[in-house]
Amino acid sequence: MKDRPQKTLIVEEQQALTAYLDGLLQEIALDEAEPEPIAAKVAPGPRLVTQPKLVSVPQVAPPVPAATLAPRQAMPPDWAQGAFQCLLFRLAGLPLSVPLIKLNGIMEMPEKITPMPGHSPLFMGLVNRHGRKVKVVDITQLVMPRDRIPERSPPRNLILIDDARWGLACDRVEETLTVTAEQVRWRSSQGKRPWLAGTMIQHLCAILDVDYLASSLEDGNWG
Amino acid sequence: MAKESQSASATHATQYVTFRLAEETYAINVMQVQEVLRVAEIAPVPGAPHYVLGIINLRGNVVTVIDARRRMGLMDKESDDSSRVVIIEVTGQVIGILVDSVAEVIELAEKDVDPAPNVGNDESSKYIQGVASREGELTIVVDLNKLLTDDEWAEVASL
Repeated sequence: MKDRPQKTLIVEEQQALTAYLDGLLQEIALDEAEPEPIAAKVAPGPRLVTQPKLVSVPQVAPPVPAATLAPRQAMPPDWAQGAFQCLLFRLAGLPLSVPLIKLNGIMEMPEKITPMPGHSPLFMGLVNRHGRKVKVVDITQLVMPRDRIPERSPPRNLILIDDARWGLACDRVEETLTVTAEQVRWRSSQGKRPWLAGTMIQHLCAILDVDYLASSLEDGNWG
Repeated sequence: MAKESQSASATHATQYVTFRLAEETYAINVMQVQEVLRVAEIAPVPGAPHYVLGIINLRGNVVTVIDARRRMGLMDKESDDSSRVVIIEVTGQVIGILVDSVAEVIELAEKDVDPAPNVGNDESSKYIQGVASREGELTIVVDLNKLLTDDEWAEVASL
């Protein structure tokens, strides 16, 4: 098999990641723009009062201040009031993060993982941790389009969530960041990426909705 | 009283025979194991399911041997000196299962066996009864009654 030139590989990976991150941001923008308030659809001015569609509306809204006409911003979750910390990590090169408040621990990738026959390939197996069994999953295929998953090195860390029932295998963990709710574009749980809580704009990094992810894994919803 | 009975059930120990497959330890109920054989000649059966290795002559009786690795979707491996055929009886039917090696007989209390994780598993993995932690290692407990489906048992019986 011919080796591809390293430079080409890096460029392709970067393009894939850039395209993916762009997709994340666009989806959030769409999500925010979708259900506009009725007032936002009505251009202020007396002319609209005469339009037939508005005849049945009992009260025509008075001119609305510009601030209320802005696209709907999804509300931050309870854990994100004020400043909060997130742990950054890489998954197939993609920067992702989990809120520290939802994190139960970080492990080196154990040498021994007990695979379970007949299960989804995303389920890597079980790891014994202090006598408890951690279910190790590779969520790459859940969060990235399959055709955009680059070649990757073996995962080095496990991120423990949901009372350490689940371990998310990742390339490596990086730093922790303190961000405020205002620095994140939050999204609702509907849409193509329900595992996405929001995106840290400054760092172009998605924040995982850990509760959703854990419950969907538990329900056997493996994409 | 009911609590005592529940607790007794949870601490009641069952004996299991453990065997190795692809570097992992599996356990099956000792009461269903009849004997353990070295691998001898196994006569292939044309048209048999892929997990059926063939048949052997066990003291005048024909016994179907299935490959545990294939049944569990693991990589094939050539038999070697450690390989064994474990003769088991399930609902009146006697079959052999080829494993990498047979390890030991252990005791597990019901409370030591956690149910199998329900994670994207398909029908063919229903034979995994649970997982037990022993000496820092995990042992996969197999429910032999579910190793094959009813149709598959019927098919194996007809070979």
